[in-house]
Amino acid sequence: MLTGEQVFRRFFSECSPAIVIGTHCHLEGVQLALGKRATLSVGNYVYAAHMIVLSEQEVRIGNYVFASFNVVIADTDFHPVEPAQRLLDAIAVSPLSHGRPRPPIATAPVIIEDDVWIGPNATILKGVRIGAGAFIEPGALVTRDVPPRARMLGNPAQIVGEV
Amino acid sequence: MALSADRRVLHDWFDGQVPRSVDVDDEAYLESAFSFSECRAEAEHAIRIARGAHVYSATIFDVGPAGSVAVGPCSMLNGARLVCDARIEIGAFATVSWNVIFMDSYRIPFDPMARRRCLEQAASHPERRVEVQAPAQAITLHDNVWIGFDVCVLPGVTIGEGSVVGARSVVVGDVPAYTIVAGNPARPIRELPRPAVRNPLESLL
Repeated sequence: MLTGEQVFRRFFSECSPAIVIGTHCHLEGVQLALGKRATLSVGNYVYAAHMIVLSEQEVRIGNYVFASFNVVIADTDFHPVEPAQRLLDAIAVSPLSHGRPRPPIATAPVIIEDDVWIGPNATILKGVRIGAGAFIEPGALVTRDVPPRARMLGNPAQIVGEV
Repeated sequence: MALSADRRVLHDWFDGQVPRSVDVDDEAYLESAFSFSECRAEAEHAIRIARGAHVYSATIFDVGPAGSVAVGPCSMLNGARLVCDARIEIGAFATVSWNVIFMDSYRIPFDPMARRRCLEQAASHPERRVEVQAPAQAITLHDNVWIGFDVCVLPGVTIGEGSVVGARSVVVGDVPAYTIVAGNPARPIRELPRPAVRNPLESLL
């Protein structure tokens, strides 16, 4: 089941297939904002309510993953980090762009392995691989890889235990 | 604020009724019955909204069958989500801003294999709900507490009188009275002065 008024409001992917969703999934009120070259794969028995996926490259979600409300998964920095490049980017996205292309922006795939639980208001940033069975506490900001079955809390998220 | 005879809120944009398990004081303000669209509390008076309390429509009472919530006099809930399977108690004069999450239960087992079974059951559940198989621990907010936006308050937390929780904090342990805490996880920042005189608004309680 896939619901939400804004699921595809910012869906621009030209990949085929851009999204692959497994069986028995429940994706309620989600937003799937995929850029031109972005792909998203979701395994079986995934349960997510009000999750936001912002992808310019690749987001892979395994089986039996649970994501609570307001979870954000982003595989991109959205803008260049380097100030000179960011100036060009600010112009390219403004009304004065006149078709100027945006400068390159760092992206890296996000991989969420099987049986991961992600609490409400948690954020997963680019290039992160979350190991199988990990438990991401509410509000955690995950910036680095997470070992399997680790319990992560904080900003930036630290290992606080094991499940 | 009095509800209509069929338990509707006056001029409500949401077409729904306030459940029987909810007591709204005649001098409280409730913006919309939408706040109770996920409320499954079964007990009578399970949810009490006291005199002078105001609850705006982005607030969601996600209360399970055995849960109960008390919102104290003159407290404001401006878009919080209350995930409650045991008890969430909010004292008087509390200010709670938007996107705050109070959860007295994780509503999911910590063991990955047990979580699998929950998700398999949810797939065949008529409302696709994940059935609760986790212990709940009550949350208590004492009087005159201020919670900033996007804060998460985790199971078992007690927040002492007069304390402030900074925006985007995650509160994992008890907060003493008259203290500012902030951060993820939240840590004490400094102490606040205790009022020198008795609460002049005590007569409102």
